[in-house]
Amino acid sequence: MNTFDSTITRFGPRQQAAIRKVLLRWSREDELGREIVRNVNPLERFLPADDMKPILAVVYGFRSKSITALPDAYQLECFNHTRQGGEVSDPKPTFLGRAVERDAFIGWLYKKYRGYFHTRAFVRDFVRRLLSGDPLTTYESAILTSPYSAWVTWEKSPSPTDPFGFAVDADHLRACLGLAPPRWHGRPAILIVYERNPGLTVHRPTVADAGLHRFFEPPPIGNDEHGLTKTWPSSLRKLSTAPIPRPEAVHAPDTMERLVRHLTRELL
Amino acid sequence: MKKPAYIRKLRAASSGRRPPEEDAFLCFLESLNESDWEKLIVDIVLQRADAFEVFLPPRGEDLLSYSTAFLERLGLPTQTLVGRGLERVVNEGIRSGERQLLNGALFMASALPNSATIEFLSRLVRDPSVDDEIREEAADGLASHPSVVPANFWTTIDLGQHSFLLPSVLTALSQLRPTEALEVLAKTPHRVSPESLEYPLRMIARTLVSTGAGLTQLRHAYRTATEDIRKVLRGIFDLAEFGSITAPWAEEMSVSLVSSPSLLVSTGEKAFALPMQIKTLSPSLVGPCIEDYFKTPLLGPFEEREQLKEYLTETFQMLDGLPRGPIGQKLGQILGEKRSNHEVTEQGVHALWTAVKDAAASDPPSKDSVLPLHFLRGQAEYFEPTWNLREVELVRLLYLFANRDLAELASRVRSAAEMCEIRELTNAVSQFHEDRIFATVIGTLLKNSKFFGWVNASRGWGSLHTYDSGEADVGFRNDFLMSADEKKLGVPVYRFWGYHVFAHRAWVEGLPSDPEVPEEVLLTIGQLLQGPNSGSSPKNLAARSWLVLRGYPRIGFPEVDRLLRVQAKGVNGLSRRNMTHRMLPYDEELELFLRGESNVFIGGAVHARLLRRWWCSDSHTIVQLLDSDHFRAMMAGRGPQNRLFFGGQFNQPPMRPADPREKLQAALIELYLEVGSVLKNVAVAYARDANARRVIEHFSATLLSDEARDRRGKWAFVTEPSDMVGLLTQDDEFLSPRTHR
Repeated sequence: MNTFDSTITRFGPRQQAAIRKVLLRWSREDELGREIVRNVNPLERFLPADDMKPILAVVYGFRSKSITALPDAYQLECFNHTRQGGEVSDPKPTFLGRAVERDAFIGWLYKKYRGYFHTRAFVRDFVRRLLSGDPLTTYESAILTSPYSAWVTWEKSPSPTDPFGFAVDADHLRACLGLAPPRWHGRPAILIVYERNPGLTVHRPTVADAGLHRFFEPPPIGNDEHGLTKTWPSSLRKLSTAPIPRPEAVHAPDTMERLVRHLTRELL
Repeated sequence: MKKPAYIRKLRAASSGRRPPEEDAFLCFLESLNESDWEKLIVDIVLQRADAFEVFLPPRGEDLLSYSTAFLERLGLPTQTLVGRGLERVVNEGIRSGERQLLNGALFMASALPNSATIEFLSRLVRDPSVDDEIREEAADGLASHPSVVPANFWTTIDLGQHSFLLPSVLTALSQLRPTEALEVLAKTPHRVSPESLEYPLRMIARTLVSTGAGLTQLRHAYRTATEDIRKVLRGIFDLAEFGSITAPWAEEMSVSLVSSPSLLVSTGEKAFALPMQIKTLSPSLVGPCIEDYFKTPLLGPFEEREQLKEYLTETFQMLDGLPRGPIGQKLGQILGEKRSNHEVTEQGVHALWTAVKDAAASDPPSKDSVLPLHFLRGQAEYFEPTWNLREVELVRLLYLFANRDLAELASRVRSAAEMCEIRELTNAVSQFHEDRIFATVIGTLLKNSKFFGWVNASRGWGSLHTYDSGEADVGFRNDFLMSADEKKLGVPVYRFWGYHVFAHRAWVEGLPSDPEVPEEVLLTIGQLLQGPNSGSSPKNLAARSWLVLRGYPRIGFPEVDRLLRVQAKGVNGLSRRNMTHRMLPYDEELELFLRGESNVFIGGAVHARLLRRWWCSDSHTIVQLLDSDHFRAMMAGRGPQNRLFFGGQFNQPPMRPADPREKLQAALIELYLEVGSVLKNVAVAYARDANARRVIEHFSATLLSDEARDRRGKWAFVTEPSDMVGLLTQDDEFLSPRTHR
C-alpha cells in the first residue's frame, strides 16, 4: 500500500474529499504541481504515515483558499520530515558520490564559509586545491560537503568503486542523475566522492526530501532497497549515450574529512 | 493572489511543459526588468516556490547560491539592473531589520562587479550607522572584485576604529598589494582569529615567497609584529603548501621555530647557533629549540657534544616561568623515540641523562618540579603503546606460564559469585606494582570468563579502605605488624623484601664532622662511600640503621620503622628526636628527596629501581644505605607477607556457617595464588622466552596508566622491563612457587 492510501484514512471522510480536491487543483495548476501530486499519490511508499499526515494537513488547509501559496506551505512542512524514508538495504556502499555544478558549489562555499574564505577567488583556489589532492587544513577538513541533506549515488559493487564510473561526460552525468534541466553545457561538474560515514544513516529519499525540487520520483514497486534517480527524458537533450537511472539516497551533511581524494574530480 | 510577472514571462519562454533550456533561460533572465528582478531577488532570498520554478535547483542544492551562479553569466546591463534591485532590497532589509533579506541580498551583490553595485557596497562599508556585521559582509563582497575597487579604498580604512574590517582589508590587499597587506597585518595591535586570516595570509605568503625581496618583507613583518600575529604567520608556514620552504625568520633565529625536523634539516647548512646567542628568544620558543637540539643528527651523538651540559643549563633557565613537567616529558619521549630507532648508544643516553640532571639542578624551577622524573616518565611512556598487549593476547600468554587452568579458576570465581548473587567485586589497589599487576591480571582473567563486575578502586596502603568506594571486598595487606589472630584472617600470597634506603652522598660525607656520630658509624660511612654492599655484618647493619634514622626520614612503612629502631638500639647517640612519623604520599617523598629537601629516602621497590638505575649507577650523588638483602638479614628471612584479605560484602552481613561466600573466597584465593605463580614464572623466563618478555613489557606498561600519572603513583614506574623482572624475582617472593618447565 502506498503512503497516501494508508494516511488518508486517518482523516474524516469530508477531509479526505477536500484533500483530494486540493491535490487535483494543484496538479492542474502547473508542471511542478503535476509532478508533486503524482509523487504524493500514488507513488510515495517510503515516507511513514506519521510524516505524511501533517503534509496532507497542510494541503487540507487550502481547501477554501487559492492554492498560489500552497507550494511554499508544502515545502515548509516538508522540511520537518526529511530523512524519514528508512535506511537503504544491505550491502551498504563503501563510497558515495555527490555531483554539483562547480559555480554553484563555489557560491555556496563562499556563502557558508565567508568568514574563512572572504572572497570567491579564494574559494576557487580552495576548490582547485581540493581537486588537485593538496592536503586540507584542520579547518578545511571540517567544511561540510552539502548545505542540506546530501543526495548521493553509488556503484553497486562488493568492492569500493567510483560512484561516477558510469558517466561519459558532464551532460550525461546530469541526465543520469536528473540534475535540473540542461543549463550548464560546457561547464564542469564537480564529483565529490567520499567514504560512507558509518555514523550517518543513508536513507531512501521521499517526497519530503524532494520538497519543491523537480526531477524526483519514488522508485517503481519492487525496487525497495534504495531510491532511483529520475533521468532526463530523451526529449530534453540529445546525448550520445542514453541516460540510465542510478541508485539514490540521502544523508545528513557530512564533512570533507572522508573525501576519497583520487576520485574527487571535475567532469566536463 | 496573482503570480508575479516574471513567472508569466517564464512560462511564455517555456515550450509547453518543458522548462527553458540554457540559451532560452538566459534570454529569459536578460528580459526581466528592474521590478521583476526586485521581486525575484526577494523570492530567491526567502526561498519561495516561484523562485524554485524559475531556477529549478537540483535536489539538495541551496537555491540562493545556485541562482546567483547564473547572475555571473548575464550581460553587464542586466547585472546593473540586478544590482539596483539588490540595493533596494538591502536598504529595505536595513530599514526593517529583516536579516535574511539583508544577508541574502548582500551575498548576491558580492557576485556582481558592476559599478552601481560596487558603489553601494562601498557606501555601506563606510556608513557608521550600519551594523558592523553588515559592513563586514559588504566589505568581503567588495574584496571579491579587486580589479574594480581601488587600493586606496582599503588603505584609508581606519583599522584602529574598525578592527572588524581587518580580514576584508587584508583579503583585498593580498590580491592587490601583498607587501602593503603584510605591513597592515604587522602593525595591527588587535587580537586576531587565525581562521579568519588563514586564507588571505596563505595568498600573501604564496606571492611573496617566490622572490628574495618578498622573503625579506615577510621577515621584517614577523620581526615587528605582536606575538599573536607571529603565531599566525608561523601557522601559515606549517601548511603543506609551504612544506619545502624555509620560513624566512628561521635563518634569523638559527633554529627551527616549530617542532618539525624537516624545517630544521632544511636550515642545516646554516650553523646551528645555540639559543643563548639570541637573548631575546621568547620562552615559548625555547622548548621547541631544545627538542630540535635533541632530534637533530647534525651535531653528532650526545656523547660527543662538548657543550651538551652548558646548552641544557642555559636553555632550562631561558624557559623562565613555563611549567617544566610537560617540557621534561616531551624531551623524555624524544629520547625514547631515539632509543626505539637505535639512534642513540648507551653512552649517549648516559651523557644526555647526566646533562639533564645537572642542568635541572642548576635551574630552580626545574629542580622544584623534578624535571628529571618527568623526563624519565616521558621516555617510558614512549614505549607504552608497544608494550601494551590486547586483552585476548595477554590471556593467551598468561596461560602459557600457568600450571593450572586459569580459565577454570576464573570460572569458579564467576560461578561462586553468581551463587552469592554478587555482581560486583571491588578490589583495593594501591600504587604498589604488585597491587596494580594483580588488579590487571585478575580483572582480565575474570572478564575473559564473563565476569564483568571486577572493579578496581584506588587506596592508600594498610587497609582495604579505598579513596572513593568505601571498604573494598578484597585486597592485600602487609602482615608485619599484625597479631597472630589478625593474620589468620588473610591468606599469604607473596612475601615482600623490596625495601631500600638512599641518602645524598654530600650529606653522608658531611657526617664525620659531626661530633655526635659514633665511631662505629664513622667506619661504616667510610665503607658505604665505597659501595652499598661493603660489609653487611650485624654491626654494620646497626650502624646503617643509625644513619637512616639520623637523616630524619619520613617513614612510609611502619614495619621498616620498627626494624630500624631495633637494629640501631645498641648504637649510641640516637634519641627520640630522630623519630619522624609524619608521612607524605610516596611520590612526594621521592620528590622531596630529589630536590634535596630531605637527606634520606626510604623507598619501596619501584622507586628504588629508578634511583638505582638513574641516580646511583653513574653520578654517585646518591648512595644506597640499605637494600633488600640488608632487610632480609634484619628480618632473619622472615619478611612480611602480603596477605589477601576480604572485607566489604564479605563482612556485611557477617558470614554464617556454610555461607556461599566462603566458596567465593576460596575461589579467589586459588586464583590469586596461581596468578602469583604465573608472575614468578614469567619473570624467571624473561631472559630466554620471547613470550615472557611480552608479558613483562605489558606489566611495565600497566604502571604507566593515565590515572597514575594524574593522581597517585605517578613515579611508580619502570623505564626498563628488566627492572620489572627484578621486582618480581628479587623484591617479591610469590608463595607456592612452581616452575612450569
